[in-house]
Amino acid sequence: MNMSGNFVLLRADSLRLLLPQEDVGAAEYVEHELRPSGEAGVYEHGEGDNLRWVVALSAQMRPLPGFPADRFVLASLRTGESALSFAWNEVQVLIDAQFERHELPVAMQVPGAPIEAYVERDGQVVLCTNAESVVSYALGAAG
Amino acid sequence: MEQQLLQSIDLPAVLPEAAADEPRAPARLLEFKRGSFVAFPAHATIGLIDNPTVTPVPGAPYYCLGLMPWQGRQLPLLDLNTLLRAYPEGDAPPAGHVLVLAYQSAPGRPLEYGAVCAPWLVRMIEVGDSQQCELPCDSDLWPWISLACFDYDGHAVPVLDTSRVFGPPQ
Repeated sequence: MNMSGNFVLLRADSLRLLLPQEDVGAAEYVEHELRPSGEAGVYEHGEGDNLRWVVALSAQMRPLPGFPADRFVLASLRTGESALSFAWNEVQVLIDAQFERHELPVAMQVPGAPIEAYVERDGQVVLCTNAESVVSYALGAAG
Repeated sequence: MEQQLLQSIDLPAVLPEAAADEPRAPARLLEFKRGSFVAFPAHATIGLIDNPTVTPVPGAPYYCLGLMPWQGRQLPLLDLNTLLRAYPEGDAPPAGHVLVLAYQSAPGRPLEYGAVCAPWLVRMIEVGDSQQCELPCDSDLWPWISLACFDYDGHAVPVLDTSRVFGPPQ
């Protein structure tokens, strides 16, 4: 099945996610020192009105206990509830992009799981998802 | 490379347990953990691949290592040892060798493909009816995923139904 539109590709090490563009907030560089927030896997970035709570995801889409030095760009995911930003190695906006969407094999389909399909881009598997699924899975509500 | 690997293990082994004059069927024997075996119908085993690139998929079943590329498609890669003991390793092991298998989700449907980890022995054997035995008792899943079971050198070896192995998660 083909899918087309505007998307954002987010990469955290080997984890590559494809989200609708409207699910992803503006990207910003990590410009300040990250400080532990007191909650495991959540870091503070900036101060005052610019304070962000930041999570760095693993390849399994769970918060990493330590913040990797190579995650240099932040992007929030628009869920309506969460004020979290996520730290990525790569953020690419893909305008008028077309992909061949593949559903996951039946053996991998779990109700409520954050990934239902994938596309291939430049020889890499990119997992299709949305902001709500990423945030709820990363914070443990769905997993 | 996968073809060479399979040819090198394709010499049939006739087991001493099989009566000399009874009909035999070929089966692919897989030692999925040290000292534990399963078998697949020979026609269902397609290739043996060394150390494929695996893409983990968050939220997939715990016994699924992820997607692996094979002949222009992505296959689910399952770890039978983890599936059968019903809990995951703390740290997922590298895939190592994997055995590519064919299955049909229903009669008349096109062939589909999946893969299982093959950390130890993979070889072709021949099996006779006189070797039939009871399924092992160490997993509740054996009756669900097995077509039959035979004795191999004192080990009960379930013959797995690939359509069940690669069917919806249980």
